[in-house]
Amino acid sequence: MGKRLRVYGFLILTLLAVFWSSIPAQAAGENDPGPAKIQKEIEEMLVCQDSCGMLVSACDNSTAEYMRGIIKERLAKGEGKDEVLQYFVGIYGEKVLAAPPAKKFNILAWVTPFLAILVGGLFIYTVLDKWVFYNRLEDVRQDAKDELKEKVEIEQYQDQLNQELKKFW
Amino acid sequence: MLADIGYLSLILSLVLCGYAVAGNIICLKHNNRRLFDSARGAVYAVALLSTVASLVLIYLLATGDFSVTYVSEYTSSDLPFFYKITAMWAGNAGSLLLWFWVLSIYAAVVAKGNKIKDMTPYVLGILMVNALFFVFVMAFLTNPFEKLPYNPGEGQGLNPMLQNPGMVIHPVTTYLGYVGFAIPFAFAMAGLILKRSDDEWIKVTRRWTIIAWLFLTLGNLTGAQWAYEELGWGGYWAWDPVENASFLPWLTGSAFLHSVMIQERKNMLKIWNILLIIITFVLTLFGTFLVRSGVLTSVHAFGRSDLGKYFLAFTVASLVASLWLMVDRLNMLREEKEFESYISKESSFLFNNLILVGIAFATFWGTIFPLISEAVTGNKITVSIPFFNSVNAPLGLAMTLLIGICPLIAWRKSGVKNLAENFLAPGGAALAFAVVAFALGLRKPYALLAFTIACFSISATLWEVIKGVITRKRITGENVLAAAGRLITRNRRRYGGYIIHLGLLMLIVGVIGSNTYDTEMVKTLKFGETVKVKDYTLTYQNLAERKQGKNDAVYADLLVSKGDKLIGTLEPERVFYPTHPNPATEVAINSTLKEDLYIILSAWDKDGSATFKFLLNPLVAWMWIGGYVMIFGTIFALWPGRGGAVGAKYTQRS
Repeated sequence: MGKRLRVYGFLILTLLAVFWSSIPAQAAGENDPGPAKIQKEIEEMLVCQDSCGMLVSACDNSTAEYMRGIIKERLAKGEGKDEVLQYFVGIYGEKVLAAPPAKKFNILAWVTPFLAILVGGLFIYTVLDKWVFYNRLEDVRQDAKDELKEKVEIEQYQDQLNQELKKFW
Repeated sequence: MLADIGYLSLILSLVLCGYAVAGNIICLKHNNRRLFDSARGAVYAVALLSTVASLVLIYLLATGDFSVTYVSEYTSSDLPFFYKITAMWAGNAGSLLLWFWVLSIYAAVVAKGNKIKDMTPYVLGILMVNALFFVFVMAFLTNPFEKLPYNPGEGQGLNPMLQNPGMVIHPVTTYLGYVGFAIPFAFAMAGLILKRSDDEWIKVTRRWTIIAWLFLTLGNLTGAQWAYEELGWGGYWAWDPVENASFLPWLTGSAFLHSVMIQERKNMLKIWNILLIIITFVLTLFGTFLVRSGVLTSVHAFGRSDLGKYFLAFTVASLVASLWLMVDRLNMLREEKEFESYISKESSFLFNNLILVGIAFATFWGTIFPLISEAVTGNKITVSIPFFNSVNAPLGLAMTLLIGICPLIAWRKSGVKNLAENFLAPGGAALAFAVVAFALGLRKPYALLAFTIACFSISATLWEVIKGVITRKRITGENVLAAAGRLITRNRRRYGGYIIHLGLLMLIVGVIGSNTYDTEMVKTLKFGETVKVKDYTLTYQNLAERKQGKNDAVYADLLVSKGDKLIGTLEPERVFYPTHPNPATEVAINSTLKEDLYIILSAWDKDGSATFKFLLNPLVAWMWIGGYVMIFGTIFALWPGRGGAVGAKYTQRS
């Protein structure tokens, strides 16, 4: 590919990238700070307890409304995020949390997927290593075969030449 | 009478499915051509009977025959005609009938095609075993034509959440996708039974696999749109067990679509491909188990029923039988074991498979972990959005990066010079993006990283197209447009794939934007009061009630402007259905490419004051655009004719 065309291509891509950057940057902006943010964070960490399975932040039934009220009340009293969460765990048990805390048996929930991918990655590396090794080994064998073939061909040629020379002389 | 015809069709289907299974097995044993033709005829007859049964149920629903239990449970006389038809898949029995209908028609198409003559009897046998299970469940456990002892005169009505156009497309496309994976699975198993190790089954089922994947993509996409517009919580994906159930086969199906390319090109990964299609098929069954068992809480489930144990038994039996067959034939699946280099397109596909299957595993693990935890510790726990977002976000970013890297690496071997040449332009573009975006105010590290990776992958994909166009232009002397048009249309399989990647990247950009920069505000307003939500100014003007058929809707009018520009009046509402205890939320959305202004009417008071939830969801529109670009790319790649052939085979020493 011509160098000039590559430069043009690169410039087009870069200009496009600069243009794209304005799209998410415009959409970005500071999210609501302060107590409202903490309230939202807590709501997103709790599950509504009327068996709907939705987060407190998303559910619009009366149970979720009641739970949102309690969060607001406790935050107004000066309690922190952990204290409010602990309050709900005390009432409903750990099932009120939208994600299991990473301790005791539940740590497995968090660790296992990454462990599985790590093992998978190592397996792929090992297999890949083996396959590349086989390929190189095959290359060496092929080279040896070619060399031998060449040697045999030269010997055959030499024999033929000797025989013809003998006949001639 | 009509309900009896429907039930009779099911019973006859049951008998014919059994006959088709036995006929296909016996004809192979005795090499009896006439018996094969007869068994094939039974497959066509099952397709016909399932069509009769389905049409009967649709007719009963449309005419409101409330003496039939299913009609009475899911429709009412005031339900719009459109939703009376869609009630077919609103409940357990009807949705099973839809599944059976699709499966039997697919089987008939396979029988008609008879693409690999010696495989067809096995393939049909396997598909008919599958159909037999579904028709057995309907005939004896949940009969869609069951009659009530008396006609109640009125039905209980359709769940308000299902009264949305999205519910027309979403379930049907999801089922078309789910059932579609049964075809490559059946061919793979037939190949194993016949001890055939070639890739003919992959070539024959490629279209089936892509069609199944296409429908599953469409199903997930329309499901997300439905959730966004109808459930009224401002999100589109809640990592609900049933949502996960349709996401899992999509992930493993995507991995399969990529890994079969290595078998096509290099005669490698035969075992892995068989394993992937087994997992994908079994995951589709696992999804039906989840929806019908009630073992996990889900907004999509059909409720607790006894069907779960039957589906679990069938799922486990399918898994064990197919794995046993695969293990038994491992010797036969010996393959080439050579990669020329650590860095090649082949090896990047291996990592792409690792990430896709890794996300599938993480999702599966999170879905079933509450059951495991309860069994081990005795404590009930919940695994919901925060877990899935935390675990899958880094994996999703790795996948996004791989989408960019894979096309830049050559088949067989990539040298340093080749890599530098290919990575320089997209890498430079991504860097420029990061610098400018940071300068413009994109400061959250995770968001900046995610957008930059997405930019890199978009640039890499476009770079690949640009390079192709330049090369074609130089060789043929065509102008840029002609070169681009011909390059893309004559290599539809390859460039269709790139279009799909671009669509997926747009979708990912939407996901990143809406998850990192969403804004939420809850506010109680009095008449005439104004509120500012970032750049938007909203004035609460009116609260009123209106009749919508037998339903009552309470709605609020909000005058919306942005800066000096008047946008118009948005009207969020809540609809009260006489047949259902809880009102449904109908949100008002002002959607632009930059962001969605999403308004929910939460509550109101006698004095006319109303409480609203305002959300600003950035870049959501890109998700839908990207999703439909993916659909377009898939259809483009699938379109018959020139340009759809697989590339050259890169076997050893070729």
